[in-house]
Amino acid sequence: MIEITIGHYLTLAAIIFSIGVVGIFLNRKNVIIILMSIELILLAVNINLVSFSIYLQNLVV
Amino acid sequence: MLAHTLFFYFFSTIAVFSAIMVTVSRNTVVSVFFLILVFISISILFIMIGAEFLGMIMLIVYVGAVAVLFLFVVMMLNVSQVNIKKTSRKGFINNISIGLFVGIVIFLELLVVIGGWKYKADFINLSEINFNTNITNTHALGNILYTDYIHLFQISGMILLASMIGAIYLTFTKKENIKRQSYFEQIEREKSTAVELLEVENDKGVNLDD
Repeated sequence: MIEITIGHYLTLAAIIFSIGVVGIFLNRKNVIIILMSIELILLAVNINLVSFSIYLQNLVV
Repeated sequence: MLAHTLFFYFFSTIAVFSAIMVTVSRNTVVSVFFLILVFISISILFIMIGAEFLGMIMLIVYVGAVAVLFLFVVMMLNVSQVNIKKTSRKGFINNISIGLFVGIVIFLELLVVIGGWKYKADFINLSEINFNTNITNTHALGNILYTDYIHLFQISGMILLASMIGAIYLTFTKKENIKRQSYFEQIEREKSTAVELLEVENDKGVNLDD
């Protein structure tokens, strides 16, 4: 709990992804908010990619 | 270690709260502002974890371009549910609280991240996530992006070009009642077709055809 590991970042990404998915269903009448929810989903994917890259150290060789 | 933990929970709490506000809020402009707050918080997390290049690019691209684009679209389409027909002062007072809230939170985050940037190496080395601090992020990305992954880089550029051409093609329509400039007609004009010499009689003037 006190030590931040990759699991924390993945959990954060999962929470933001879920909020994005729920947002699409909540605001089905407003296209712009749907687009913003898709941005949230893409942001969660980005968090996953970055945290795995840092964890595996596959960028800085 | 404790500082890293505190920072992570601080920024991730703000990010999650703002993400909820994006979807829940009734006013579209307010949700755009909260989307900006989400992106700023997450990019600060990226900078903290050691991916400073991506964090900065996210600030530039998302906060600078995409969010402003959303704001423009919202203002153009005029979809905000607020009644603007009342006096504009009312709208100002209604929106000042949410605007001040987002602004103050972003300011506090910037203060915190400036403090955190000073001790970045401590955070990263003390946590479980290991990070090589000898080489900067931009340097490392450039080293592999232009050598090992040059084909993927070029292909992604091609995909961007294709999407740009598609967007232009979708929005390009030929309208009949619009006067457009025709370069060929302009260049093909000659003196014989453009200028006419007339003998003008006294007290009559010139009678033009059109």
